[in-house]
Amino acid sequence: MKKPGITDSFLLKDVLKKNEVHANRYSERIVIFLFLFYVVIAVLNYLGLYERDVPDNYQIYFALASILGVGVLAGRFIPSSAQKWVLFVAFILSNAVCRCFFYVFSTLIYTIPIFLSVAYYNKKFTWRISIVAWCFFLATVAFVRNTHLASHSIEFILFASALPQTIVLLLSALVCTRIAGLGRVLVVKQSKNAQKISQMEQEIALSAHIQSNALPLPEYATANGEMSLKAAMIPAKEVAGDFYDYFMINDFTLGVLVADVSDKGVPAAMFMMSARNSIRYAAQDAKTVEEAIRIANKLLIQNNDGDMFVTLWLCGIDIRTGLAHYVNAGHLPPILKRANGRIEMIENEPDLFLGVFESMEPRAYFFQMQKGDQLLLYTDGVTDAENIYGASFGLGHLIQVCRGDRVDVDLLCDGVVKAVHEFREGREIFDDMTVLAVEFHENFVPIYLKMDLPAKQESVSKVIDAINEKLESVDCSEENRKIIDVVIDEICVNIVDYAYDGQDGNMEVEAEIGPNYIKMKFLDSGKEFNPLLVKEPSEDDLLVEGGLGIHLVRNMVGSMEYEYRDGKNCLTILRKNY
Amino acid sequence: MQIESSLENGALKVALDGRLDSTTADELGAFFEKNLDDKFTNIILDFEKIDFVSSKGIRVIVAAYKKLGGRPISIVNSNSSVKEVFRLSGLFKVFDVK
Repeated sequence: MKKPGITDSFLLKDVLKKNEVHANRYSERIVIFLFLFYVVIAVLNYLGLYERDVPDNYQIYFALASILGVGVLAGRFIPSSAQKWVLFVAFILSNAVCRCFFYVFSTLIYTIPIFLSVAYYNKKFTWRISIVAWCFFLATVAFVRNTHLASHSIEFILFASALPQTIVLLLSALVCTRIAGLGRVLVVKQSKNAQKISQMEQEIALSAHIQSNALPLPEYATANGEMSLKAAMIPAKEVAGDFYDYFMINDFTLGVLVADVSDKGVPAAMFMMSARNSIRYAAQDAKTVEEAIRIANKLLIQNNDGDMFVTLWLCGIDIRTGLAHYVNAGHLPPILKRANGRIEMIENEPDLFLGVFESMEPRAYFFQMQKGDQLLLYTDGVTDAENIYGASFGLGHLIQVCRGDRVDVDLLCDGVVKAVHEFREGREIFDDMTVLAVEFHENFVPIYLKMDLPAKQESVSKVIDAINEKLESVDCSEENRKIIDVVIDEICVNIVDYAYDGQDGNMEVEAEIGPNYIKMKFLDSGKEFNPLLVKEPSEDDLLVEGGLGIHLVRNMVGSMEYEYRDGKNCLTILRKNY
Repeated sequence: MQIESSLENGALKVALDGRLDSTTADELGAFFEKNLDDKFTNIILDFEKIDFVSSKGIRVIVAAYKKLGGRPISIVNSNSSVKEVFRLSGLFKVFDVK
């Protein structure tokens, strides 16, 4: 951004320059008017229709007109800063000539250029014009002394004519200078305000940009295509209070949400960013959607000095099974379009909105998505959209759009947005509008395996072989199978060697093999031992028993959890994307 | 596990066959115990026929390395998952693994 000071004077210069051009045009118009006036008088006089007691005075009228005409013409060919001088000098000169030949005792005619000069909002210019006018006035007094007023004494001319007229001119000059000065102050203020406004507009545009970047991409599919979604957010003003979001709550849960902040414009946009971050942050740690909402609500209350709140509909969908848990915080119920085309509303008794009530205890409800089911989330900007006749789009209309032929989420989402646009018939949007469509593509049933074997060396290869067989059946590459073998070997051998101190005991292994992941649980009833607390070995520690194996495992799996429950060590590991 | 060794140009070349895991690591350990003398300058472990190495196997090799007092051990013909085990153990810095 430019330095404010520099931009300031640049802008002011521009404004004054523009004003000068306008004032020149106006002055020119006045001069042209006078020019035409003299021409008409001259013609009338020539034709004998207008007589004055000065003989041949039509020539004088023509002379006056020509002075003004030359001024206007000359002014056209020079820069606008010089143009005003040419115009004004021509004007004053014509005044002087006029004053010489006709009995015009009034100074009125000299005051006109002074008044006119105010249009330039330039004190100096008004003063200079006043001085020029006064000089010409004195010259005419001297000239007239030698002609028409010869009969009057010098004293009379000075005290009864020149002095009072000088005072009139001086007062006019004082008043006009003041007005020009005040005008300039206003112009400066206005240009500063204009600059501030344009800066604010820039900032709002920038905020809108930041905000739209903060929303995730409008298209998303989970790593193995279990689910896909498409979203759209159309703000009513430049910045919006609506938003959509999606994120993985844990390895197998896709969270999707739409939300609507209670206000519009910049304050709502700021609250929206805060709400979005709070929910994302809360969802990271929370085990369930209701816990995420409860945490997000607390965070939002801390940061909410205004009286804003946010309604939202959040749902966590298990990408393996399609089981969806949701929380409705004062939001509109989404539409579930089943694979067979049937439309269902996901309705429940909504919980309170977020950001106001500390005591909010959201409840989660659930529903089951089957292969091909599509869920449509939306904000009230969709249903409340009005057309030029004041009718709202309405839920019925929205359901009708959903009832159409089966299409993918892209077309479903775009179709809703398009239908609302068509309905509005060009009427402006009053409220932000958000739509998110998500589809569940696959119910994958994982392979489960459970073994309970004596904690003996020969059991290790049994476990490895059994799991390998299943891995082969789901096309796990040989390379990945080898790595998984190492993991099983390290953990099982650890149990065999250390869990029971040479006594007999059992080890249980549970495996869950999905389309692109393996989850294994190892249990033993031996002495309590948390392998996660084993430090990463340094080079010298490589000889120490135990450390290296767990280090290897840790590096080979995506996540590893340990708990000691009911007298059993339970180590759970997950390896994704084999 | 089968272990075959030979002296080639001053290097002790050890070819292994089988799995190098908790059950077999001791066999290699015993082999090193017997054969680490002053007659060679370095050890080359041929892993062509090894498709599995666990942390115990690695520990035996590290123990041998320490006994050698600076004489290098290199590992040749290892497959990608075996290489991965060495990489994850941070041993690329210590052994030349190919």
